[in-house]
Amino acid sequence: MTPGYMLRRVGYVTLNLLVIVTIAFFLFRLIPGNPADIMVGSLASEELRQTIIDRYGLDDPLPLQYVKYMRSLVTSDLGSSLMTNRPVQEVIFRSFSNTLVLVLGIFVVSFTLGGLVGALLGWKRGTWVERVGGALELLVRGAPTFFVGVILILIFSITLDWLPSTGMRSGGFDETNLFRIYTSADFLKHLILPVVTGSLYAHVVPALIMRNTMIYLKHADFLDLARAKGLSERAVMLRHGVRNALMPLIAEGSQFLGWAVGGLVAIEFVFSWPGLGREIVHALDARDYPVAQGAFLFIAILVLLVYFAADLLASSLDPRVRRRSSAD
Amino acid sequence: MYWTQIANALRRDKVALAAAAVLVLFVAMALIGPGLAPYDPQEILRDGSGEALVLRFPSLSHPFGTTDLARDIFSQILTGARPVLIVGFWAALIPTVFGLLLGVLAGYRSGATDTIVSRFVEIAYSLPFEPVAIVLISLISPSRWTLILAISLLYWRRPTRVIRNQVLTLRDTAFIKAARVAGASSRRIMFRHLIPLVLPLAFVYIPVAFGNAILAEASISFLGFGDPLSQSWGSILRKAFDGGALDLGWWWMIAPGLSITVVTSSMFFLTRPFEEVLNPRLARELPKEKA
Repeated sequence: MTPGYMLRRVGYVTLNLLVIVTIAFFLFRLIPGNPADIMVGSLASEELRQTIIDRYGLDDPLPLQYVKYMRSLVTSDLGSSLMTNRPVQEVIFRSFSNTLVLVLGIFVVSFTLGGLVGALLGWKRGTWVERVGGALELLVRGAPTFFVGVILILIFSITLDWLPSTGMRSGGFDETNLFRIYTSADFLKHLILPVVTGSLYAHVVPALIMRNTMIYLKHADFLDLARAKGLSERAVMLRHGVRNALMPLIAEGSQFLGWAVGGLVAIEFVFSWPGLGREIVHALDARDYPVAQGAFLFIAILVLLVYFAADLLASSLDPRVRRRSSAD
Repeated sequence: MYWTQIANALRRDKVALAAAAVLVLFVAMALIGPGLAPYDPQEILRDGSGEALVLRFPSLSHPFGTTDLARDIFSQILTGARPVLIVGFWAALIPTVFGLLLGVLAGYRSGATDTIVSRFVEIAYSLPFEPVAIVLISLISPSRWTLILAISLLYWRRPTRVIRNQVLTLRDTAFIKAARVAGASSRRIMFRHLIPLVLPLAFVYIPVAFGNAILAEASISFLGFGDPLSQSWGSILRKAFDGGALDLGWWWMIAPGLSITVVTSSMFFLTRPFEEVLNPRLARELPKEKA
């Protein structure tokens, strides 16, 4: 990787960050009327109202507000929740770690499942397995995640009573150490349904990618060579085909991670999973703008950085990516 | 150049044909559904003795059952198709047309225009969809048009990128060069030559965009940020979720959920036969008797 290439990418990502942060600034100033009235309600005392206005500099001219806003971002002082008075960073950190567990769970399950299903569909190209399987994939992709979640809750929580359907732990379970929470059997039981719901949706794209790669690979020369060596079709596909088909999946993986950080809102909502997405929904419902803005910025910046890291990784693994991007 | 291929592909794929039939039915439902509904979707229904028909299991008179407020779910599904179609249609068409024009401009002009457009596409790709949509809608105020705006703002990126890449390869072909040498203006080349060439690509993209827009509308409405003036299938699901349908009447959620699923997957099925037209590498590998 040349330093010039590296420098240009860093320049781009910095520029993108600035644009996104600025978009967020104007977005949260779209609120009609004086935000203080909406935040504290019309029944609040004049004193409280003034405190809010001072705290968030709502009477300042816009350029000054922008400078203050940028400064607060740099010092990562995002204010505190209007509902609970907890610092926004704390709220975000807690809910983000819950979202992250969910994202990683779905990532592992959906890419394993998607890879296998895709390999099978590609291998069985032109048979009824591919026709039925391919149709099922599109049907699952067309179902809203929250509806799939509801169906799973109806079957596994309400009818069969096997798995819990809300939150991430049962009542009476007091533990504050995050690591111990995330490794407890109770937590893992709560994790199953949201992960299955997310994976049913998220495995379709990797499956289709894997299928296309397998179809392409089926007649690749190096596989013909493996066949000529006398290997069985199964061994050719599993030992040589699937391995080579993994590269496009890895590329899709970074796309997934970027999407999932902000894309699980509806799943978190259905399963009352205390993650970032649900936090935003609740904050917007309660007009708790510092939390909504903080969570929004956090997700947007994180997604940008995930894509940036994936881009660097791809270009260090594959020189073609490097040449392609310097050409455009 | 693709038109006959597309028509042939559609004729071969029976599933796509069935999907097309489902979509015709859906559009008909959106157009005349409210007139066919046996009850007012908000009417509180009572039986002969005046007792409200709360959470009734599906029956002949109420094929999809009734809600916690004794409303007929079948009538709600029929009237709910129209907001789904309107939002889905505009939120698919606006970003696709926008992406078509912007993609042709960026791909043909290249240089600074292309750099700026590509930067913005990249930024749009890093905006997380659901958070951006609900923040935008709740800050502007929820309505049908903010819903369409929010979905469009996020979905213009893909058609723009796809079209731009396609135009980038087309602009150096012999006949575009010939047009330029013959003295055709940039505008003439873009509108008379490039747009007709990439139009099929945009058309194939529309059903996918439509399906995605319907899914987006459903999840935004389910999260409570939909159009407060009309009740789409997504908002029926939210009402059911809040009204305790999970514990009290599962059928309340089945009809709207399945309606969304069937319509959206039909959109996806419709594009499947075109996959091979757009990606000839796949068609080549088909067994002889099908190809």
